[in-house]
Amino acid sequence: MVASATSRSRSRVAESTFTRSAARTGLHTPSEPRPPHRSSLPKSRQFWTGFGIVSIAAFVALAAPLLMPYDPLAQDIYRRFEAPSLAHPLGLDEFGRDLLSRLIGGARITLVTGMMAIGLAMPLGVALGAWSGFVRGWVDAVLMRLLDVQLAYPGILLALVLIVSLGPSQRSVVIALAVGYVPYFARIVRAAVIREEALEYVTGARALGQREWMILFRHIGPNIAGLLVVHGSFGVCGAMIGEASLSFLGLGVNPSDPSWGRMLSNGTQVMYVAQHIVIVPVVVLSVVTLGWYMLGEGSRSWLDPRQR
Amino acid sequence: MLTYMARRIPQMLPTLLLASIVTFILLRLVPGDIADVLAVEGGVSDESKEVLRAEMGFDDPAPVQYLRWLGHLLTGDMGHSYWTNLPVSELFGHAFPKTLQLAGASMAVAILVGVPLGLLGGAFPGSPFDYLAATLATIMTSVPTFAIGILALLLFAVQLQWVPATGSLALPAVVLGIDISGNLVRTLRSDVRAELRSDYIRTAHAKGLPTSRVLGRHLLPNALTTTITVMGLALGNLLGGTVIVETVFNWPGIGDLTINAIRNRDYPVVQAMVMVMTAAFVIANIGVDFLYGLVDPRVRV
Repeated sequence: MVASATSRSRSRVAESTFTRSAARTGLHTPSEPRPPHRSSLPKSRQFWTGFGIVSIAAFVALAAPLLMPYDPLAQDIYRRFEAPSLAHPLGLDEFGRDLLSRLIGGARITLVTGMMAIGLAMPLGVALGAWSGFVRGWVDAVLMRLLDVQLAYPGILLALVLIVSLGPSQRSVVIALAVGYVPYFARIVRAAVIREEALEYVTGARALGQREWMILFRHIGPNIAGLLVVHGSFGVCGAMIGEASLSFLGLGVNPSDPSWGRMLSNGTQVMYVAQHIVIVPVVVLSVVTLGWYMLGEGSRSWLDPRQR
Repeated sequence: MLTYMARRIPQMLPTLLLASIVTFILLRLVPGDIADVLAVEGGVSDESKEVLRAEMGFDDPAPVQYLRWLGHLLTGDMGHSYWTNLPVSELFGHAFPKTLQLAGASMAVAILVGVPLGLLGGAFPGSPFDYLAATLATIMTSVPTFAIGILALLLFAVQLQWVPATGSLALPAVVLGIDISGNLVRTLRSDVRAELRSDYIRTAHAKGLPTSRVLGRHLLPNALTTTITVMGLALGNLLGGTVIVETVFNWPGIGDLTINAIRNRDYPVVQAMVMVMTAAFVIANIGVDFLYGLVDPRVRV
């Protein structure tokens, strides 16, 4: 990473690790026993744990308006810092807002922002990387040079400056994180395309007179699709950490939106008064990012044909 | 070494130049400048705003402003803070020792935790070390560092009251160190496992060397190459300041200086700190390449 951040703290944080592990995908030996066929369901416990966590979080984010017991913005200043009770299972925060409702609403902000950023960055990065890796030439030379600069540029600062210039909002955070993740996917896909192109099946297809774009889409594409599932999951893990970090620094989504990062920064300021305000978002954020990571690691051994 | 450095350092200039142009353009896109901020904060009139802008050279075309800034930088002048009017080099001089302190302490923690755990975890598959190494690597990659920092604060500063919440080096150093050690462990563990299958290890065992000697003298030096890259890049990041951890622990280093400058629209400071961070990263890269040659004579620098 984003340790890229983080790593270069968080958004970049995770990045260095991920890029690295991407480069070694072919060498990595998973500890889990390998399933015999691609069609069989993954047997790894890691995959299913991650899948479970991510599904629950996604459901909560989707159904947030129905699940929230109270308005996450409604304040009750006389009951601030109130400890958990039956009416408010997680208690009230420093403005007397219901923490459970804010946590559920925060899933919408943090999870959805992370997923949207990757949803935007992945197609762009894949297109750039495939183009650069398949066509090579000057496009590749220019792109590689730019990616080198991007790697050296402190990632979190790029995101911060972008958000300041676009104005703090969920949309700005999505754009800022996506800008940071385009090179991540471009790098991975470029390396994969170059690796695949050297293999016999591509030479074979060429010898048979297949058109170049057919080779890229029909032959190489399916062979690197698994990689995208794996790194898409890692990407969402990193982008969620990125959103939480930016909001924690006070330069993320709208100040009134209940992002988990925002809840953390408010909670840390009052942690000597009441600890329930900070402890729940910290644990939930960590579990959900861990879930995405496990989903990625787990599907790696399932989807990557070289792993078997 | 000197000739090597003399050859490599010019190669980093295009990267630094591009990074500075990107920063410059992005900062010019920000709506509202320092004059507007001052007008809101201090009730400056419209005429004074114009005078201020003229004084600071905002009326010149952007390329002129950029070249002026670059010219000053080349003569060692990083400019003055809009906010405090102190020279940026002075602010940097205050913040950098703090960042250096934190970086050194974190690296020490990372190496002390990461290298033994990675070595033992890799050398003894299925052992408790292996399990611990795998768990640490997964958690440290996937859980935000600042979340771990907050939990550490809650436990050691609020509950146990062993350390103060601000100003203590121990807590941020341990949190950052453990975070980096996750990367070290992951790399070292898999490299140790790959080396374990080599012939020279079998030979070393066969001639009756004790396991500790096989691991420490024969295996570790060969398995360390990739780990050195990871360490070098981590150090490069640390020297550029860690914005989030410094914020969580109120540590007045480079990261803290930069985030405050961003909040205050204090562009000379932001611009200079981006240069510092980028340079730290690029220099760390060069250092890593150089170290390769020392550890592995097969690699010529």
